[in-house]
Amino acid sequence: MAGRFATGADRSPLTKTGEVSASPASILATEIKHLAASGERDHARERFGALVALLQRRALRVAFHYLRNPADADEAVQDAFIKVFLHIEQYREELPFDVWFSRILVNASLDRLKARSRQQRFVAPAVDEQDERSVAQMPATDPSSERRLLARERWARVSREVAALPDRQRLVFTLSQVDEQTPGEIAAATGMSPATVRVHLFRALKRLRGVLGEQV
Amino acid sequence: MTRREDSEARITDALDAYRAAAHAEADGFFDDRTLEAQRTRILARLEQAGQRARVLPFPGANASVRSGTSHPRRWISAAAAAGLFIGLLTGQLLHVMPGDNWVHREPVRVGAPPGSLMAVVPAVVNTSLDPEDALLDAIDAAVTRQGASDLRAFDDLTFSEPY
Repeated sequence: MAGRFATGADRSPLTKTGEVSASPASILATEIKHLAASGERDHARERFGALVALLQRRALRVAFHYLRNPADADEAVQDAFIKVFLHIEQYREELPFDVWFSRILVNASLDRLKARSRQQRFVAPAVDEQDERSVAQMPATDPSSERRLLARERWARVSREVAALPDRQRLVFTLSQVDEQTPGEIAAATGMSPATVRVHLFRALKRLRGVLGEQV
Repeated sequence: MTRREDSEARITDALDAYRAAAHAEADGFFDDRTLEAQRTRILARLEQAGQRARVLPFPGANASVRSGTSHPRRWISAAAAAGLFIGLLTGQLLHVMPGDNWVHREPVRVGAPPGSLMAVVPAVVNTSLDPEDALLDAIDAAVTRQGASDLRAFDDLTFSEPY
């Protein structure tokens, strides 16, 4: 999920030779891992604050668009960061930290989704309340109020279509489009094969083609 | 530009627009202050996770009640467990190797007036039998005995439905 967090310079792409150029997040994570291993827990926690600041915004964007609920997204991101710190000694330095974090965030989001579905068995969901808020939050670059309204309606339609995608398609689409991850990164984060990721992405785009076409 | 290329370009533009809108929507919910607050919560949770869990005593409870594993208590528990074990073992042994003494015995009269039910209560009831079976045996024995004939008169008076 966090293929490229913060800035373009934060990326940790695989080079043609297969080597990994360490991203700022990977460097920081390695430092925290060594601090924790040497028993400097407080110092490690302090540095972890910087890592959180680096990855937080993109993590929230992805979690929010997957879960479609700000409170759930907040919880999922918090849980993911807590897990990262508590298991930092398991981080393998030779691999991009972003991918490892993505995997943890995906799992935290899935856990949150499961918890929510359990709750919804007993509590009636607030129908479309979230969609209405989403529409209200839709940014409008066009000053004309009429066009703004149209843009909001289109955005609401796209959001609904994305939300209606099957879980896996929605996850792949969100990671690909919101976080701009490559199929390889998505595969590493979700545990699917790159071919499966491509299939899910193709199907999602095919389904959304109609509603996306209206957007331009 | 071919029709296909045109279509792909439109989709790419649409996806770029979607991404920008999606980012803006999420950022609308999570502004800088929210991010700061979340960071603080994460670090606070980590600090708590680093501390050893404390067990808070229940207010008003005294130490002896709380401990629950004092020496006398342990002895009582061990004795109870041993007693239960021995009891179960003995029961099993008796069940596996029933001697003559444990087979159903004919009821014997115990100095009660003839005809009285008390007179035909078996002295020893088969202990390996179910209590209900034992009771039925006792009733059977009572009815078949001569002394029970006095009760027949009551039986004739009692209404009974034909089967």
